[in-house]
Amino acid sequence: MRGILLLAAAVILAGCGGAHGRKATSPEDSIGGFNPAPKRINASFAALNRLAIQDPEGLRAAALERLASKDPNVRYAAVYALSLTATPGLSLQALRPILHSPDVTERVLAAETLVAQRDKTGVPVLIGALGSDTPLAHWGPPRPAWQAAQRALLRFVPEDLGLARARTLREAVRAKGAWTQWWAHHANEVRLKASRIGAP
Amino acid sequence: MRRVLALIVVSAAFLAAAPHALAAGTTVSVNGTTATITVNVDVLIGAFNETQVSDETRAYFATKAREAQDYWNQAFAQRRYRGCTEFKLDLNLRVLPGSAAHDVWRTDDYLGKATVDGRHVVSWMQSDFGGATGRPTVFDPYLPDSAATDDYPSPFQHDLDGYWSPDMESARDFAHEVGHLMGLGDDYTDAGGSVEGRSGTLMDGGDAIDQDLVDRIGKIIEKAGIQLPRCWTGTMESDTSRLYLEGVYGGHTHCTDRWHATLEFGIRPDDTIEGNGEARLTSGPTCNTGTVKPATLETFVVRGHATERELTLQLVFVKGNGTLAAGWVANVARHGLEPGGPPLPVPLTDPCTAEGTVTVHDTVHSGGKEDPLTATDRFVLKCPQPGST
Repeated sequence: MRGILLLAAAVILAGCGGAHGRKATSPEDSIGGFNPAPKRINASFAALNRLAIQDPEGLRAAALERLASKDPNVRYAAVYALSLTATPGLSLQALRPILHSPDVTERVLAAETLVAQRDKTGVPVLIGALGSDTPLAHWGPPRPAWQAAQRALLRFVPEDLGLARARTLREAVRAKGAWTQWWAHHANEVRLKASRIGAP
Repeated sequence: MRRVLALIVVSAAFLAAAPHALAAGTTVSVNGTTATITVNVDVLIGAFNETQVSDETRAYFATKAREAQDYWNQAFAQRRYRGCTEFKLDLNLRVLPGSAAHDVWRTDDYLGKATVDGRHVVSWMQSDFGGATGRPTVFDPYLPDSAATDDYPSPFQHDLDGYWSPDMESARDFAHEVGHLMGLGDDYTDAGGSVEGRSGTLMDGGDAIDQDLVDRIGKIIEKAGIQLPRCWTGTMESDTSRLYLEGVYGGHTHCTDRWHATLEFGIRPDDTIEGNGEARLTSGPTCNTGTVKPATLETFVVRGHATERELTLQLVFVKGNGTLAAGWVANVARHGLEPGGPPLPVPLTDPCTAEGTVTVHDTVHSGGKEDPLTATDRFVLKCPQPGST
């Protein structure tokens, strides 16, 4: 009898997967504990990315709560997390004030998400970022803001105006002039491209 | 009986708690001096069943995988590890719906995604919500305290998972991320700028695959406990002769020539030798070949085995550009017909040098006689020291 009990205990232990002691990073910790130090940056992004896919609701809620954080790392993580998880409604609206952030990284993240959700308010912000050589914060491989804006505009706006050919800041700035003029005249009639899952 | 049951309980608990570390998504196979790095990676698209991954999406990733593979292989063809080992990348990429993967605890605090053993998994960061491109990331949970700029052997020891996104557009972008699945750390820092001396490399924000990246991959593989070929190169000076007893030269004509050959081979972990070589005629032949074009270039395969005392080579004929008038064929074939010459023992004078002279005798049937062939071969073989290029 005792043997049977021991055997049952063994089976239960194996069946549980030995899960005690295992704990994945929570949405709150992934934002509150975001750390761009060399030994933590990949773990920090891996946690945020995983949650954006597996628990977007939880990550979205945690991001909304921390958007006003004074800690620049927490603030960054909140904006990044929200840019990956925002949906039409409250969370998307929360990105609009960020379009006026003094930080070009925040502006680009917010604008790209708004444009991806077919909210045109992000387009002029992306056009403006075509003139910025500032590296996107914490990005890897390194990417200047103009290049991130270039990619976002070409993905979601059905226009080119020479932007696809731009390989330097100077060329991007040249395209920025054309885009600014074009947007001023066509903003109302433009229909943004829908975000596609899979091949761009 | 009680002890046995207790052992079962303890074993079950141990097995259940053991981290998932059964396979490695990146493997290496060695053939001669070529080491093929196979990166097996499954890209998970955020769809819920197989049919929702469109043919267009599969074609897109197939193209990107081919481009990234070519990107690395063009560089590998030009830059060898320790002057000898040529890497080749085989990027084996599959596109699967998200439902094809399951959660797995890679370590006690890292929950990842897995499909089958022996494949890395990357989630493609695209969904109906959000829209900003995610930052591509491969995290090594087995070395959680290593810096992002550190190289790591884990891809050759475990399946890893990570995140790719539409932020990756060009062949260069994909090649950079594949670099992480070969264990390369970044050549840039989050503090801004490149690691010293690494500006413009593929693992920085640039596109250059330099010798340093190739050397780092070799060291990563060796750190993972995988043996790469012990690489050797060298020369062979061969003075050859053939005595025509009868036939085209009317009998008793002694024909000689001289060849200079270069050899390149690897010694595999099981001590077998594999490589190749080519020989060029440097003088002769001393006999008139008439309208027949004499060979001036011969290529051959190098086989054999190594011991602590010597390298025993066998040269196997592959092709030539003309007719052999003297005795070179004795080195690479039997009786001028069967590819594969005799064993050529070359003594080791130190662990990285083999030197010696070997004389080979054979015959070839001609005009009802067996013409004797002789080749006297002087070998000088070296293995580049670690770190040399």
